Amino acid sequence: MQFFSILKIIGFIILVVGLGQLIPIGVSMANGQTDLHSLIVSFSIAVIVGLSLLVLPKSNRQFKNKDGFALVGFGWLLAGFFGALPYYISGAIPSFTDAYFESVSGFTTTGSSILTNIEGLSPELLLWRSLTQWFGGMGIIVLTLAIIPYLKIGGMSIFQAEVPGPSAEKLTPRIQDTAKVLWFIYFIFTVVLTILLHVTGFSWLDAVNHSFTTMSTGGFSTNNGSLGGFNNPAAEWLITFFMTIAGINFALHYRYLFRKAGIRSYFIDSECQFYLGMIALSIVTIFAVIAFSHEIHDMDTFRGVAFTVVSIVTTTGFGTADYELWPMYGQFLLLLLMIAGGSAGSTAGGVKTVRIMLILKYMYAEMQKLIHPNLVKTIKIQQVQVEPPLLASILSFVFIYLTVMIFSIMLVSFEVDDLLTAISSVIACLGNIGPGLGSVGPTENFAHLGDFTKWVLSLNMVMGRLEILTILLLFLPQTWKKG
Amino acid sequence: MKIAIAGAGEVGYHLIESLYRDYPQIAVIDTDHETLQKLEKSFGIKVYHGNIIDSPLLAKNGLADFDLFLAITNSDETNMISCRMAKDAGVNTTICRIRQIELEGTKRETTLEALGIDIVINPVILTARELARFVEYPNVVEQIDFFEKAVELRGYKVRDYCSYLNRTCDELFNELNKNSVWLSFILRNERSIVPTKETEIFEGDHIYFLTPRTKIDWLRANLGYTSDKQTKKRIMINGGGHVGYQLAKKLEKTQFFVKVIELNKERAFRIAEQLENSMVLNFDGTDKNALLAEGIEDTDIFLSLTEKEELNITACALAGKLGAKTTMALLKQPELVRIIEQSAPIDKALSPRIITARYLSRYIKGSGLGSYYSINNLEIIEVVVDTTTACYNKEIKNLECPEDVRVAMVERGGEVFLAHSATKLKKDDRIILVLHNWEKEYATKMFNLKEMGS
Repeated sequence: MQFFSILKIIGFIILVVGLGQLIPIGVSMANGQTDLHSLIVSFSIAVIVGLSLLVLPKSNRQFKNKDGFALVGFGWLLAGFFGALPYYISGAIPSFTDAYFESVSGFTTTGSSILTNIEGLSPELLLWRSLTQWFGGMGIIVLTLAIIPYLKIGGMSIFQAEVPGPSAEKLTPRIQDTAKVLWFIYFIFTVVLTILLHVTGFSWLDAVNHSFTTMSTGGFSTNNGSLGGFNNPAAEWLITFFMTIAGINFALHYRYLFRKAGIRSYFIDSECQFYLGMIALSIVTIFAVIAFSHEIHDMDTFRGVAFTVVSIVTTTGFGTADYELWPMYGQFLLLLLMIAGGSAGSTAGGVKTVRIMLILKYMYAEMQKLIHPNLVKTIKIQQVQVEPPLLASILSFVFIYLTVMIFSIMLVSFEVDDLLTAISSVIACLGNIGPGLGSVGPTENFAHLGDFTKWVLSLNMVMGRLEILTILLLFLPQTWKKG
Repeated sequence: MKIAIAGAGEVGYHLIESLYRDYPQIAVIDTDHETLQKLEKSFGIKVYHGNIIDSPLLAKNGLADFDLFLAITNSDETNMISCRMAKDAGVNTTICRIRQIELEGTKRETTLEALGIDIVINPVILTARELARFVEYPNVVEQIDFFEKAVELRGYKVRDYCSYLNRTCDELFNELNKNSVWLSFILRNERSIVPTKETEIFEGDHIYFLTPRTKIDWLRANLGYTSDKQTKKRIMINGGGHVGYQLAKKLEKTQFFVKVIELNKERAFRIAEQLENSMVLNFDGTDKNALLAEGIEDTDIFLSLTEKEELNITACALAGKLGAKTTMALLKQPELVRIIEQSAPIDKALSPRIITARYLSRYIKGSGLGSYYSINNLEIIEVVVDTTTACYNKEIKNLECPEDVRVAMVERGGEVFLAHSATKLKKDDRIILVLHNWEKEYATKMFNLKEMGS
């Protein structure tokens, strides 16, 4: 373990978290200055800790894979800690467990909240809350497109070829180049959405907040009723569209915007096809079921269904319709979509569409093998064969994902006595969605859960965000041994 | 025209056999002394013994008065290098046989140019193309384009359900004329017959039509072969080697259901990766139980295309017995083709070597002409009429054509029609001639046939 080097980079991350607080500080000074004092305190703490870690001596030794895992894992956990300081110091969230939960929910772009009265927070804290998600989204883009393929977690290395920038052997130049161009795309989308939201009637502050949390597929809102509280159908459609975009592999956006690939390139990409098909099919069937059982089939219902399905599948978690009033089929489908998640290489969480697609293909091949015992079947994506070892790591990833899910449900059930809440809260946190079902549904929040449950769910959020294995490795004794 | 041939294998032998009468100035280079002696004795051509690369012909100016160099040895690399050397030795055109390497359509034009290769002949591709045609249209035996694809020469096999069976040509001509289709010749027992009114059509005949492209569907229906167009056939290919793979690749683009059987596991995985809609199976193509498990009895066409001909014969015999409707075997030895087709329960046998030799022969004989086709002693030639041609401005009845020379079709200003006795030939008309090659002298004089290099 290269503790100094790791701490040095973590120091940099903490510094960024600290400096990020300058934005809400600015807003605070321009507006009412409610929480200016506590923001400055937490800013100072983060900057001081960050800087003092940055002065650690630089090591010239080669970074190993496990150093990478430790860096990513602790990076996110500690960002959550320093991000929680403004809530805690200002007293807006008195319990530190709650503050940490809220902050981690931000940095992992989950969107689960323990706040019962969101509107009671000062504008600067609301902005900080959205900003944590936006920063989290930036981190994820680099993580999923540059670091995770390099570390070969969960078979994500199939996308190595998709990543723009030079495919140099050295990790750093690759990450830097990739990160720059993808952040640029992310930034552009955020700006465009902010302007469009303002046009639909949002105030600038609300527009910025919501575009931050839309592009990062986070799902924090500034309204107690989430997005539904604004009663703005145009904004709902707009956000539906941008959530869909945020759930698509950013490498595709890169090719479309910078490589003149044409709009067709989205529809010939097999993962994107599957992702869009999954959304369309879910919307249609849920709407049909609602139309039949409740005999409601107006435009408002359709918009609610479309918005909710996209919000769930992209793991954003905004709410407009109370889906707990839907027939059971709709609720259950949403639960499955929570597990599936968006495309790999996007800011969405979950298992990722491409893995689901590969598993379906694998299942089909296995069944065919029973009919044709001598069949030679290769699993392909975009006409390229997925090598068996890669396929095995994807299969095992899904298995590990489900295992972690089941064990977390077990842990959560110490304090939660309702099965639906236990299951859905874990799924919603592990998949970085936000709201679940039962008592953590779209109209409720996570405030009433016990402290232990909140810590478990906080860890779940980080695990889900970092492709599970990154965090699991930290529990493995070998990681900490020399050699 | 002087032709130098490197490699006197089966392809070389068959090629020389079909060329030596028209082109007496052929030189052959090979390492095998006995084969060369045989060639010298049978065809009276010039032979050079020794390594091709080493041969004096490929030295400076060694090929200066040659028009064509054919590299058809069994080694792709030797062929490629010898083409370069032949170009340096002064030959006009080189033809290179390449088996293992897929050079066509892979953006290698500059490489081929640098290698001095003008034309690439790939027996694998040629064979796959022929097989694909047979699979798609089992009753079509030939398909050659004329007039830049406006007209097609199409040969059909007469089956027991063909509506032309046992009818005389007299009855057919009327209807065919109305649709601008020309019944050009009939192939019976390996002899080509130019039909007259009395000629009757028997089962097993191959009848060749010159037909405008727009009339192909009509002709198929008229023959009673509409069911040939059946699109959902079940095809089983034994052997995923070069030919098998290329065929599967061609067929999977259609609506056919294709299964490829490949015994070698590694090869099976490789082709499974490259094929998109075909099913690749890993077992021995002569394994009865495995064939039954894969539904051999519902297979429309079973093709055995492995490298081993005895295996192909066995597999086809077995498949036929187990219920495959049609079986086809790939053979190495050209002499076996007819024997197998006639005596074994195999519907069709093919030899890539024959296909290659025939292709090359047609290519050489047809060079300098528009489109060209020859079978036995019959030739079908596309000619352009201009003011210097002897037939210019004459009506066909005044050409005093011998019995075995016919003007079949005329293309004038984009329009295609059958030639009548009163048709007057004008400048820039393109015509299709059907003739027996003993009348070649007359045809050369009357229609100004040009030959490459002459």
